[in-house]
Amino acid sequence: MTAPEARAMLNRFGYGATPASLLAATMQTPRQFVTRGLLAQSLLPESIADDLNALPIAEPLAATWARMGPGGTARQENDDKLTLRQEENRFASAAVQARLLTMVNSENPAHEVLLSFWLNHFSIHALKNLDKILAWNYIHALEQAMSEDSFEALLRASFFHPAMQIYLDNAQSTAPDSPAALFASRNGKTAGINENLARELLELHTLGVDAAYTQKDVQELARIITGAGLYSQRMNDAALTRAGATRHGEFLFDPRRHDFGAKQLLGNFFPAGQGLTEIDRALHLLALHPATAHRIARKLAQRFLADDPPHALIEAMAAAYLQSGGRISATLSPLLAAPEFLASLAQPRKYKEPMDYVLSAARAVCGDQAIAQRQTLAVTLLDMGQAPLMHTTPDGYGSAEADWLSPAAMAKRVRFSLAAAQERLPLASRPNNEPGRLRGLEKGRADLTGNSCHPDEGIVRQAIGPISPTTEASLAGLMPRERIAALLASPEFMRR
Amino acid sequence: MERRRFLQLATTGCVATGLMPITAMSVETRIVHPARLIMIFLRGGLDGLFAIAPVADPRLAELRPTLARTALEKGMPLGNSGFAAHPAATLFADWYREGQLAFAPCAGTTDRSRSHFQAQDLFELGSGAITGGSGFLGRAAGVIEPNRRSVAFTREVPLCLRGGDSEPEVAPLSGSGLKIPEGNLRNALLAAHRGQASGRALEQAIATEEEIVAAMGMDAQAARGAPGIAGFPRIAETMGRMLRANQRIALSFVDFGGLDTHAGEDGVLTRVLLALTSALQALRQTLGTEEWARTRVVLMSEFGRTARENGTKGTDHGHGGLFLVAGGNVAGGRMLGDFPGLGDNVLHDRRDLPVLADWRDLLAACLRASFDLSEPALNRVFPGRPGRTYSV
Repeated sequence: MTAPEARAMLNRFGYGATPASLLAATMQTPRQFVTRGLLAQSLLPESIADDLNALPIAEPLAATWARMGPGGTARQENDDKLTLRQEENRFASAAVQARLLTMVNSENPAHEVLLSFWLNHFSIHALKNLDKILAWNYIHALEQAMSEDSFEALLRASFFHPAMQIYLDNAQSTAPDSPAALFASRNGKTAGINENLARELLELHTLGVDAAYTQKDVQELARIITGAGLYSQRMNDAALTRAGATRHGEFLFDPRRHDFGAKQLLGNFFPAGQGLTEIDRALHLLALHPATAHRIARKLAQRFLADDPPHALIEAMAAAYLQSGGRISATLSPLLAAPEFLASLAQPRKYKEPMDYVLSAARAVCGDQAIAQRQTLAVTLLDMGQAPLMHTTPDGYGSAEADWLSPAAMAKRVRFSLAAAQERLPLASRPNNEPGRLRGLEKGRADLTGNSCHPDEGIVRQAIGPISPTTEASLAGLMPRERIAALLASPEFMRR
Repeated sequence: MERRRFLQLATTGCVATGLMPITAMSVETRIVHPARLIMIFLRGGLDGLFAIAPVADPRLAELRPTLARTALEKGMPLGNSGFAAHPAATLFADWYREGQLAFAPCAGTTDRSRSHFQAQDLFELGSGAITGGSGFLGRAAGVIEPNRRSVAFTREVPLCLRGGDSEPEVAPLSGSGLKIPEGNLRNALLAAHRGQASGRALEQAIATEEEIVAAMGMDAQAARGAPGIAGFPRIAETMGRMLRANQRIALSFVDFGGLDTHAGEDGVLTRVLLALTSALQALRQTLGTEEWARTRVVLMSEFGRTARENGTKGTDHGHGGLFLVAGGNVAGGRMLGDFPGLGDNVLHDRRDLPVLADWRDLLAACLRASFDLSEPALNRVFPGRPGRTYSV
């Protein structure tokens, strides 16, 4: 790639350009840059990796679950509930901050941007119930699936993760005539179906709301996925084995909650007597459905090209999706080769989402220095309304200009730019305090300490690229630090 | 912008001299109908049957063995409508008794998808379509008096306000706010962004921040509430002050999420109703009797939820839902539209309340009552509405 293309690619499939990342990108083609993002892991500066390893989320999930999962050792009757709640909140907060640190420091930027795309597509909320302790593991589950270069792998990784089962309330959904429901009713409790996950699987994860499915399909899919849920220490392992339950990590398929009747999904007959295998079949059906191909193609084109991408390009991407059995690289291939895409690299038009903006500004200010103050990133982004796994509803964040361009967004970007330019923004040194509570960080409550980065106008200008004569003229008469702030808040740097 | 600047100077001056009411009134003499409408949009699908429950219906307890219990035991009756307000929302019953609140139990849109996101778009567009560039409040701002405007007390511009004749105003009352330091940097950025959407947003931020500061007596930080509905009581108080100080604002919009109660609904909605009703109380108090009499507050959600509670002590996506309108001059103490009961044969798809009062007709009734709008004007705001009239 030429240097301008590399800069544009780093803004489109990355979180902004730094001198070293520009140099590395110029040695690749756009396709290599994206393929490496899909298939290769990220590498982080050692100090950042050390910080992540010292966070509570670094503990293997099995150990966390044994302690804080349902029926865990920290959840006994007389235990201190407040301490447990605080620990859960630390986990959620650490997951969000660790994700931000990884995104901003990775030397494989496309990996992080693509992973963020899928995390947002299969959106969960890090503060919902036990998702607080599962969020970090969920990120890794999707990351691992991404390396398989298959939409179905991503769909399965999300569905078969306890975080999604909890987030969309499927973990308790129970067939009304199942042994589990009968057991509940003998104990004066009710148990039955909850259709939340089934609906969003169809509407958001795969086909899309305008596809030809009905309320009946939602209900049939809800029956198919009964029995999917969580493993709990309260369960009797021998009884689980007798019942034929299947456990993957902390995900559990429990046949005692499953509806074994015959079903009909999208015109396909599902015979009676099937358990976990019919979930596999349903997910396969949904993953390779033409409506899913179109939906994923459009969404990728919207994020990586334009709010209103050309119809023909979406068709080409959807066709590539179907031909390749849902491979992500194949679906992106027509996009990367499209003349519209190459033209857009020369003239970036997409208004940056808050994460694009804040992370790219931080990188422009810090250059190749590691960005360690994760709390600064979290507080700033929560105030701007976008942070990893913090969208409350399952649709995820939008990527269109209308979703983000507002008076508040502009005011916050200007203040952020000024603070960064004046070296009032701690970015460079690692926070010496606890991860804190996300609810507190959301209200701006944090003790932001540490060193700021020392911005260099040349590096900032290199990160932005060519600026218009109007912008250049507006800088006349500004003091050096004001000039850096004005560059960071310039129209050119708001777009990618 | 000219007119807006003038008003700002006027209100800022008032604060300084302590003569706000008199000066504000002299500024506002050009406004013929000083009414206002406040739209509270609850995203996620409010379970209306939980908030205001049809306790006289014999099937309620059977359909909702756990979720109807509190209302059946301790609900506060709304006159003899057969409905009772949940104990966390007794304000609804109080206002109903005072004749300041009316409700429609089976209100809603033409949505068939039961998708939050499609139903919300449909609601906010108000055109009957699921895609489009202009929302009903944006269009409404174009047909009421030319010197009156709309504002959203939200962080981003809601679809509801987009596509009107004028740039939508937003005044976020949670988060760090709109302040942009004055000086050379601000001027440089205004120059660099001039003529672009980002430039208009910058100008809007500066103007609105001045207004918030003026309404709050210079302490803009105190004006802000926590994010989410928990912060709504504080936000409502600030809204009340801003509206009182700016008669220009005819239409207001505010929204909250967290209503999608598929599981454990009782606890979640109890907290929501407490926050919501204390916010309504704060709004009424801050506005004061005279201003409250000019105000209509409308509350609605994109759809209601299943009549039957589901297997996880919650409810799934439904169809018909609750519409509330309150205010000092509302034709209240009444139910709007019909309630056919909870029999299986009357439920929509044998699971949800039907929609018997179209959202566009209900909102048009509110706009008509507040701003004396003509039928052609209302048709521009809500093209293709069924055209049933309601007295609100």
